[in-house]
Amino acid sequence: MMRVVLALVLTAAVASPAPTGFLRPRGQPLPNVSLPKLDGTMGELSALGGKPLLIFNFASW
Amino acid sequence: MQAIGIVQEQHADRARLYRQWRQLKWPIFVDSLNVLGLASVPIPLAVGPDGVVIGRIRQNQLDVLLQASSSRKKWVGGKLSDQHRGDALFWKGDLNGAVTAYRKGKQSAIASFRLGVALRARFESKHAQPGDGQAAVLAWRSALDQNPRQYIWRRRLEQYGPRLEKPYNFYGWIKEARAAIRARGETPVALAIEPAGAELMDRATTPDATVREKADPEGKVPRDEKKRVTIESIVTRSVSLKSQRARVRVVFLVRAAYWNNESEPLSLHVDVPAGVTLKEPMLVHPQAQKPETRERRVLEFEIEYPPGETGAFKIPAYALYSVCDEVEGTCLYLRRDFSVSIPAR
Repeated sequence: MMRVVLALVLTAAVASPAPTGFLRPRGQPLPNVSLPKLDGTMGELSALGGKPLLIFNFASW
Repeated sequence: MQAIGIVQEQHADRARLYRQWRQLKWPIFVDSLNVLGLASVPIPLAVGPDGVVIGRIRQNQLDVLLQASSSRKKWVGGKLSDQHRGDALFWKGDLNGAVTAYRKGKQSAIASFRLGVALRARFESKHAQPGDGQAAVLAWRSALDQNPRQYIWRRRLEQYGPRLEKPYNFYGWIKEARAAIRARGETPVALAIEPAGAELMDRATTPDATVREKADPEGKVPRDEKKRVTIESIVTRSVSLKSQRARVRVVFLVRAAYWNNESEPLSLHVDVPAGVTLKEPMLVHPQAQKPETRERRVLEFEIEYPPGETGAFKIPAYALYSVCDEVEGTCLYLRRDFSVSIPAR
């Protein structure tokens, strides 16, 4: 699983344009953003603390 | 370490199919409203165990990520705004409420984008109101005009817009995904709305250039006075002012009736005004395999208009279709006349 994640990260890091928006809080706590998961339940990003976290923003288009 | 995905996608079920295909096991959140305010993807982001954002991840930052940060800042709580009210209603599935909330608030760029998302979702729901599909396009256009560098917003327009402006085939992966999932012995996640027309094309696609003879030129086919079929056209004009194209998507929904698949297929006929050229006509819908079906049907075409033509105009059109009032009931071949409104640029 980790290998897959890192492969995605390395590929994406080359192609990504300059970070904006969500990346503004660099060095600050993650914004308290609430979003639905694919299973339909709501979740808060800020509730994901406790372990190092990798957030991979992507699109299915 | 834990990994999560956040997908920028209007249709969550398409992301579900993608996850099933790629066998992604980590939690995936759906950010249809672009709550995160991203202008593009993909973006990998590292967050320390204390919730402090480290930033875009790079190889040399992985070590930093894997080491626990010593700072212990508290999470920042968000204050609900009018904007968030619309968001909350959208996520609850209250699309009428969300549209109303977004329209009440300040018409900022992001509010316009989210209004477009809510309108498009309502257009594809049982709560659809006439004009929702076109209103979504206009809301997205308003958002992009205010912030032309917002590529996630731009993609929503490109999804339904002129083929030549599409950077790639947005949903070409679906066919491959379904085949791979079936080969594993699984059933692919069902999609509520199948991608169609421009969604499955790009610049390299060879459009169907078949010229078909116009059926019923004398108007002898009986009119569908009961309006058994709902017809809504959605026009997406070129994002670039250098291009003079508009893609027209006409969506057909049977109401208290069924498509009759054992007779003449659904066809669309348009009379473009002088100076306007018909391009890429996909004007005949293939029949389904079962005798009677009720699926949403989409036909598309593009027009090319003269340079400098930025005003609104109308294109007369009519559709011919075979429908049955009930399964194994009376079936009729009918005609509906309507017009496609091309909004001002």
